[in-house]
Amino acid sequence: MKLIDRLPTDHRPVVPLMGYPGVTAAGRKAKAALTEPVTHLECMTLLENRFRPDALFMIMDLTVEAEALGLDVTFETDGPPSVVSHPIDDAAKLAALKVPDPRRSGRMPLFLEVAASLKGKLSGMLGAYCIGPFTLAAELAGPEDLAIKTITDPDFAKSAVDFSAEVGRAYATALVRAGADVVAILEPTAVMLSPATFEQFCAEPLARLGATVRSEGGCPVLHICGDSTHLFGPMATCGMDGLSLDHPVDLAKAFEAVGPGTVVIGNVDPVGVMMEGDPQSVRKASGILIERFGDLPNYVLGTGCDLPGETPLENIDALMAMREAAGA
Amino acid sequence: MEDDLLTGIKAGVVAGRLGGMGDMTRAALDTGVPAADIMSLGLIEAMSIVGEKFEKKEYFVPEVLVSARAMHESMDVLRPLLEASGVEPLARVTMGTVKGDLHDIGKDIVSIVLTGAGFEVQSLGADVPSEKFVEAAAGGAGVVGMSSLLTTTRPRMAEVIRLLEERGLRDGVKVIIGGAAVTEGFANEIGADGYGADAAQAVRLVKSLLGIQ
Repeated sequence: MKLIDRLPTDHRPVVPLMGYPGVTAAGRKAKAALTEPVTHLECMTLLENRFRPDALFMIMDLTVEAEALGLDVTFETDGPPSVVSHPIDDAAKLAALKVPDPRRSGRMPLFLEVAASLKGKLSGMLGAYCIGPFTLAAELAGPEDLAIKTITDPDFAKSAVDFSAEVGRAYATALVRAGADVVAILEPTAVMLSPATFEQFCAEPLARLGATVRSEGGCPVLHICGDSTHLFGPMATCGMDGLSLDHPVDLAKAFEAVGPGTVVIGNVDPVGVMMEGDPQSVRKASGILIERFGDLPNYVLGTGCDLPGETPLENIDALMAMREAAGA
Repeated sequence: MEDDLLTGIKAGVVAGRLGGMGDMTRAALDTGVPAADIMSLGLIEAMSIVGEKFEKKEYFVPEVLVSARAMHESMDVLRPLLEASGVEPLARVTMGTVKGDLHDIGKDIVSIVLTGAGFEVQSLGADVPSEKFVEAAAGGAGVVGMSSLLTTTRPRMAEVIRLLEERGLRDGVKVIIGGAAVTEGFANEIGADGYGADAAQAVRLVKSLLGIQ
């Protein structure tokens, strides 16, 4: 079933990306939540009990796949972890990599275990994350080097993105089999590409990854951070069930690009409003979105990007309260 | 002939032609074109065009990075000559991503566009200890630019400003910030001189802070 057919009909769907506020609320460290299944689950349970979102996403981690491929990861900041260095800089090193088995590679098993534990226990859908092929290729080769190689060594860039899509397909398959209803494919690094470069390197691998999620019975959603307006055309051709978009974009243009069968999720400013603001500013920002898009059956109110751990829970309460707001 | 070589260098940078920029630069020097002219009429004008194309969304990050690499091939030949002749840039800007944060590209694009606007940019890279920004200010940077993409690292920006104040350096330097983890409001809160949402805004901000144009 496509995402649009799984949305609730008795209220307006609201889906904040709030893993890190859950870590803070549980009084835990990001490293503990991303290395200990029981701690991750504790944060998820807290978020479910307080907010009962229409989809509860696990804690975002863009290093899982790279780490499973042998790259070093740091948890230094107590926020989202980062890949330390990007050693896969030539075709020979790339060719030496193997698609990891998600059941026994790095921290992939943690996310599978948490998904399995949450399956069937949530009021809404269970959401998982999987890194996008271009973004993983950038973690492997270095974002600047990969960007340059899209021009100077397109064969390498293409091979790196294709391989990364295969890593994503294996992991996303396992996530859906473990219990994820929705898989958000995180492709932030692709925001820097021209539409033509996106078409050349990203569109087909993303479509392949999305098709795999769907064939397993999950709903693929594509998330790109920042101002992705110039990519709406090619993003709409990737066969996703939904696009999750960041606060600098005008969602009206996304609705024009995707048509009525594709869900558009967004896009309250995660830092300027959700973290720095108060419940009143959250009501105001989300009220504007609801006024503009609230009548569209393929609209889901959400945050433009992953919420920082410092986001006050009352601000998330204010966002969730928009479920029952006028017009729902 | 001299004009052809300068035009060629400029076109080579705009088009991001890698591999031959050093030879072209040496050929221009051999025919008597001063290094300072190659810098200002060739490289800076080229990067200014690249910056305009980026703002108009004709160029995107990969195209800008390749042009910058072409510029550096030429700069590597010119640098020793320029240093010997004491040519002054508009001002020196120090750019870096704060400690704990490994995101490079955003501030690198800002650096490239600032270079195209005639500034000398010193890049400290990513994961930069606060002390390094302070050293740059002590060493004569007119502007210190800091980037943060993770809200957990943005308190470092306030720390740098506090250190600049403690060392008596704050009045001599403009502090600008950018990146997905920060906002105009945060810039005001920590006492930065300005916030730029993108590279074009950052250039306008630096110019206005320094009273240029």
